[in-house]
Amino acid sequence: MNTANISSPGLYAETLAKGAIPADHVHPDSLKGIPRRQTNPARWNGEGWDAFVGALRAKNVEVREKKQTCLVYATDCGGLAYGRPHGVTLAGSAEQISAILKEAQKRRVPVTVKGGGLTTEGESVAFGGLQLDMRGMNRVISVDGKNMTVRAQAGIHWHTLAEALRRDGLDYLSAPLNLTASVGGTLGVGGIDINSPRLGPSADQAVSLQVVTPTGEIRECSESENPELFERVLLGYGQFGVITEAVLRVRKFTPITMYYFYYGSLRDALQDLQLLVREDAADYCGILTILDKAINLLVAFDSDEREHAFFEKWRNRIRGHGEPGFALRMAWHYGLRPWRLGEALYLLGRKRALEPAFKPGQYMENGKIVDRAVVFGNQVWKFWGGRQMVIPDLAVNAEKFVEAIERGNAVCRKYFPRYTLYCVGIKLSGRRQRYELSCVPPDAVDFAYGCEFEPLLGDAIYSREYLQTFKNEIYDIGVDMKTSYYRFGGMMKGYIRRAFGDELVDKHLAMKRAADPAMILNPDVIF
Amino acid sequence: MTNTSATLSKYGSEKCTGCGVCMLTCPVWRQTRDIMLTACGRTRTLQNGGGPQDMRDSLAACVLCGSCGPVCPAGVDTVGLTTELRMDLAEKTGPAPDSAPGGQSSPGVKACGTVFFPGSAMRKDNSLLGHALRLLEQEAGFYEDAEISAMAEKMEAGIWPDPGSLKDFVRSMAGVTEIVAADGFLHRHLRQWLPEVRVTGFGETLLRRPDIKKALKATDLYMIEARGYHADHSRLVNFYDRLRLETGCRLNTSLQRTAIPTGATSRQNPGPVRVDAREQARWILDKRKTERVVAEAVEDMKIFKKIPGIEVIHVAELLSLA
Repeated sequence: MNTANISSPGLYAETLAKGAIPADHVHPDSLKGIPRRQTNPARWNGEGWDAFVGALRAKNVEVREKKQTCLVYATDCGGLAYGRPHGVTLAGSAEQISAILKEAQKRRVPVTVKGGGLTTEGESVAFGGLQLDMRGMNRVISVDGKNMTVRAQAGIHWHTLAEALRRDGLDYLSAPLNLTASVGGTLGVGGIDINSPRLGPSADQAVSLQVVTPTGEIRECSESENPELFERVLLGYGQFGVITEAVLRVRKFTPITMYYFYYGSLRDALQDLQLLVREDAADYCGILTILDKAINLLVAFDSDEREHAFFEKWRNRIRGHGEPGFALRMAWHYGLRPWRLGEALYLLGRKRALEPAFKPGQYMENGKIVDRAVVFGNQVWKFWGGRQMVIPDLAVNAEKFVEAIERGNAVCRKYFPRYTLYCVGIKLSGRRQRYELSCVPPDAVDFAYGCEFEPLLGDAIYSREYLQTFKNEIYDIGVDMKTSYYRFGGMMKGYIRRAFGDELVDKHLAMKRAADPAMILNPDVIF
Repeated sequence: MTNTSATLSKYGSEKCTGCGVCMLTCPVWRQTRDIMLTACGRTRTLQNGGGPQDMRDSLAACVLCGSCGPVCPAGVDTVGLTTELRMDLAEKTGPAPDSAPGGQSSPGVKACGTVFFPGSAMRKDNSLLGHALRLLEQEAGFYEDAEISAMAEKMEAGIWPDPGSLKDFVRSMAGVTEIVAADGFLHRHLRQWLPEVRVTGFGETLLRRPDIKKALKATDLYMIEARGYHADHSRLVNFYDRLRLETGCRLNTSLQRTAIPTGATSRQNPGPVRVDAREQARWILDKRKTERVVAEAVEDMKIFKKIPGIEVIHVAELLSLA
């Protein structure tokens, strides 16, 4: 059997040549008593589908059933879960979605909602039933410069929203680095950016929502109107309604100044990130690593004042090096370990590729980066994207942060020769109902922290078993340490009860049953 | 006959991850919000075993502006792929009924140095053509490009040029060092056919002249011809960014630094979905404080002229010649 030329000290690091039948690589310690729930849920049997479609067509709702159309929706960004809807509808209005959900309740047809489809555990994949493509509702409705809000259809991509807001000199508060994520999908799961340490998750910038409930009622909700629904739908993983419109807070657009501090120690970098988050030292900060060798603490500012304050008060308190200092450290490190020359060259090559990509000339003005979200969003896809994306994560409180990430890092090292960690802080706004059974860990106070563990698969082909085993081992850390997860559901839903306990899950299951009697809305995500 | 796997690998579509970044700049997506009508939908269809017959409407709707190409993180050659799929479809179904007629050739003409291909739209406007030729008289010689224009129109419809004619054309360009082509669609093909020849757009060539560049005002919206721009994006993105910084003018660029097209330069094939060029123009102008639109493409200029309350000129008209 041919194997790709990748070596690793890990136990199961070999990769497979195309076409080879993989051995079962499940690590004996990886499951720790958790029933192995892997890959796709069973496909819905299609009972009543034709009548459902007939009823919708009678109401002028288009359902596309062509095989090729359905197959375009077969997987999500993760590329590991595969399903196939019986049909696809392009969302057009709240009324249309209301009609769909009413019929779906009546006929018990599953409806799976897809926004940008940036899930990695199959959460937005339809295993039969109707796929509702929310990107059909992709428009800005109004911009209110006086109250600094925007109302948009929820299928809108963050990028499209930014494009519209920029004409008014405005920007959204915080959005995931993937700009093809949809607003509705993001509000449903959280939404983390490098400004989340200051501004919280994207979900917390929602002022009000228009929601179609699983039984088809169209409701407006906010902290003052239908607050219970508002709190359920935000971070609700699509269980309690389809968000069709959202009013979001916006801010003035600013180019930003960005600095990178380099670390040789992951622990030092994590502790310094926490210092900056805790003391509100920067407008943006996060950690991005190449393996656990080149650790990069990114710090950025919206204003010169904040930048000056950082250099006055905090720069000397963090241990990161500038580039020359880091280069010297690396030269010393690898000079003493010549047998790791390959790794050193990889780090150097990666750095040389990444650096200009993150500072492209056409996005730089007077030393500041303009549209950094676009630059980051594109480079994330270019350097970290692929047909298969495996990004297990952990969301933890401040006290558990360093230990969780160090344990996760050890798992990455064991499984993959190349990987990246992406860590950020998340500001919490009090004890909100929406945080319950969500990516926000139950024991987090003031701030939560998240880390994504992403192997760089490159052209290597790994078996699904192998990738799943890696994910399981990361998720096991969450169970062990009683943390939460950012990617939350789908193929990893077997972990939800383990992580949160029966009482909390049963409470939410009861709420779900009350809101969605036929359990048709996004049925394979959480429950 | 379509060889799907060969098409997949030739243009890199097997690398498509479905990220959807290409949709962010696509005018068809902007107006329809339908993934099936985008490059992303087409590559995903191919990956799932579909062929051009499964994407007939999608292929017809594409305006080949090329804005999806430079932003694709996987490096899929989206324009090449769409063009080839159109050809596959045309082979199966025969040319579209209103496909472009052949043009007048310029037999025996051996061009040399820098030549100017005005394109069909400019050739129809004698006054503008004369003006353009006077501006370029130091830089480029006029080339009667009716045959090339006809070839381009057919290629856009999915009909590949006759190899003999193409060979004749390439031979006739033996002494040419640079082609200034107003029709951006031709740029990528000219570069493929004539790899030694520098290919530039009409606007870029004029803007090399300081007096023309100086005539641009900060209140102008400079309308880049999208197809030529995206065909050489990594170079031109810097060229036009410098133009913006030096003159203060606005550009029809998106946050992705692609050129937002009107779609007017496209010969859209018959199909149920067509990009509304006026709607695109309105979006380009939306909330931009613009006193004048300066268009590189004649087709774009005509579309903007239909929008009341704004002065519209062609880039060749920036400098009035006595």
